[in-house]
Amino acid sequence: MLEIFDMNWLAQGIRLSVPLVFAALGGLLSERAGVINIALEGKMLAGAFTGVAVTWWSGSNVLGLFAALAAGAAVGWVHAWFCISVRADQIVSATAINLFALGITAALIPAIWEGGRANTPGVDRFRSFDFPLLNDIPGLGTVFQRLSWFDYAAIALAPVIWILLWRTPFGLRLRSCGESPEAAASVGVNVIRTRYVAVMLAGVLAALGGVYLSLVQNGLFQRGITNGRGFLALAAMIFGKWKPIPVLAACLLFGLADAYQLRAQSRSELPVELFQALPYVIGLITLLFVGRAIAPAAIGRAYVKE
Amino acid sequence: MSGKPRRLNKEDPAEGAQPPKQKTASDGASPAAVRLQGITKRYPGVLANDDINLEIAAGSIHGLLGENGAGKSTLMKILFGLVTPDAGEIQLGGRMASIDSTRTALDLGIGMVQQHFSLIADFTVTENLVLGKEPTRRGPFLDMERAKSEVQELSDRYDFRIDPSAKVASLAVGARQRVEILKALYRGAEMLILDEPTAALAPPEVEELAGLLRRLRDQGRTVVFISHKLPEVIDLCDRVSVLRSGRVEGHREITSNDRSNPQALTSELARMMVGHDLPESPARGDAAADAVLLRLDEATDGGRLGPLSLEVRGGEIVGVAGVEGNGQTELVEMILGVRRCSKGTIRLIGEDATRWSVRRRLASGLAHIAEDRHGTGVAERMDLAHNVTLGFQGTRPFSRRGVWLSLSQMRRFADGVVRRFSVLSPSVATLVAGLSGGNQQKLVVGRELSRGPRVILAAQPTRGLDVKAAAFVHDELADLCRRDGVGVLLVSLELSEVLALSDRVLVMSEGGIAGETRPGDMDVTTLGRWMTGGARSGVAA
Repeated sequence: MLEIFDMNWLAQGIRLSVPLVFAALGGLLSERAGVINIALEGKMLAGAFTGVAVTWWSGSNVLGLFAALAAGAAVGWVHAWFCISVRADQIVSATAINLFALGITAALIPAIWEGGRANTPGVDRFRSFDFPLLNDIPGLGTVFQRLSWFDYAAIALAPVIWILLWRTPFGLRLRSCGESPEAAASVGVNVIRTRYVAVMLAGVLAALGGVYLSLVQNGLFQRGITNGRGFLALAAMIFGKWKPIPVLAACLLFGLADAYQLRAQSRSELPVELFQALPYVIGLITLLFVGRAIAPAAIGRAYVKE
Repeated sequence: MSGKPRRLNKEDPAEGAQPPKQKTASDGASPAAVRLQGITKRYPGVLANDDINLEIAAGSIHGLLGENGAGKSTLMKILFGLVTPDAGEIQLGGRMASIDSTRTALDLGIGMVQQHFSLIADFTVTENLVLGKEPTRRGPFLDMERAKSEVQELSDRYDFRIDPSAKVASLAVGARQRVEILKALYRGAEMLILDEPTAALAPPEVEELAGLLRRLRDQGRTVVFISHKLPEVIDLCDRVSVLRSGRVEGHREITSNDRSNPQALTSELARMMVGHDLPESPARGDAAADAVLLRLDEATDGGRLGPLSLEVRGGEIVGVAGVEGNGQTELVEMILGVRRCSKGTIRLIGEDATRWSVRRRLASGLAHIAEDRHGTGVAERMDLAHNVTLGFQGTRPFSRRGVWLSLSQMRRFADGVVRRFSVLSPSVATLVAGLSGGNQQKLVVGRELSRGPRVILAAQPTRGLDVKAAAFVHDELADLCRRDGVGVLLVSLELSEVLALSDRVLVMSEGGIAGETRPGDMDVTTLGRWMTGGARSGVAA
């Protein structure tokens, strides 16, 4: 089934990896600052839902997009407040956010849209973006024709995050909070504020991943639309060893594997479930090769100001 | 801790930003960089500092000598803004100062290198130094090139021999310590406080540090050197203050005459520290030629350790000397059984123990005084009674039928250890985390020596102990040897400890044994060559 590996597969693979890229890079920001972020799933759901709801209400998907980002920041703030200010267990508070987001978005669908049960009515979605020159390249052009500016933004985001973390004072301080908050505080870094900013930025990026699912790919919101992608993004972040470019590569690997299995299952007699497991199997196999991932030293540890 | 302003500063609350510089050129005698008056700090049950008066001259190395718990660290933490005193005042360069945080201390030109380093292992040297006051270029971007050259320049000026681009995680302890000092200087410290800086250093590294501190003094900086090691203090310091039980016992100038002939001063200072004469070191008799209790034959971990062979007989103390990081830790781990012995054999009391589990080795009479107290020596969040019985929880009398723990038996045993090794603790139900480092170490040593061992693996058994407690541990080890025929493998970075205690000395270098000697016919040059034979200098290339 080698004929699956064509330009359509490439385009579809990129599109499937984009929500992972946004969420995984968000998670990276948060974890580099020392806050575990398994709440990515919940933040994606919040973004996906808010985007559709506000677009439906206002008629403007741009407004929907910004509302979704704000919702991501808000959920990020709640997560940060529990983890940083209350110093609650970071895994427990994140799990609570995930469950709450899943429940509340599902419950709001019938509450807002009468008759709707599992999904919202369709709204105006973001269309693919015409890159005049690129689209005309023979062969590869088909890939560019099918990409929206979200896709370009996702790929550009990885180097941007790298520059932010490794080439700016803010990034150095953010990473110091994830390695040794006490050492950071002793030289005047505001650990609490830095961690809040990082976790809220993570919320914004995860919400962007959610918006991609609802406002770019589907044009509607469906109960549990993220379907575990927040956790897959988390896995990609760990595969990528908390480094932006390898994280991007891991997300692309997952996306391409997913595209392959989607196309392969329709042409085969084998059970669908076998194909659906493919991205995860590939993930496990890559684990054998990437070696030990070393997390930031102070990850998951609340900082108590002296 | 509390944000309350202190009462140190009645006259001039706004004063605080006066660096202790620019007063080098007054009348003949060096002016005081720091004057502490009536400093008192009380913790529940302990008077850590009791009305302490102390003057530290600018441009000098001032020794602060005292046993563990004498109040040295507390006093210096007060000066560095980590601890708020209950009473007393601090003058810097003749002006009142209110030091309410480490930030203030740093702004006033005071830097401190603590026993636990405050470096970020995953960062480079430069990243560690610039964190918090990063140079930038083109707006928001870090100027790492400029930062690196600044760090390089500072390093060169005092001959730190530090590579600004090296990751801290890749540096040896001595180099990390120099980075810590460099960090204080980078932040403009005129005065440096070093808390037990030689505790983790090997002899060559101690020499290197001493040279560095002298260079800093000669360039006009002030150094406070906290220690309980007399020879180092006499060798390095211009003046020394001795603390005992939170009070100043006295001050003493150290002359070059003292340095060339240190005996008199040593016993004088020791008396001031301890309050009475030092106990004699255990007399060294001839080791009885008993049976071999521990024997390694071409044992290796398949990595950097070995293959090496050694044996320890009953009634014998075999010392292992060497520069840190030459396989001593790995050797202890392999004998204990937490590191795999991939080739060769380990025999314990006549039996092949190469494949034995840790538990079986311990049960057959192996005791282990852990080198890393925090990581492997104790479980800090458990109380004394549990810690003392840990590892033997499944055997009688601590457990009945291997199921039910007997708390009363555990407490009784712990009480015995606490009494015999004079561990200072309110009760055996106290969490070990609440004990001072020295007392934790006494507990670990006491636990291991109280189990009726046949072979003792003693890795840095007196790390963090004061003179008296160290002498006590040495006596106990020697006693067990002489009286009960126990075999001891003593691994220590303190050459003096190894030489004082051992019947035979093995020197480790790069995972192997570079040579063997007896303390009697020791030849310093040979020993030095063995220790540094191709070894790292602890400096990043």
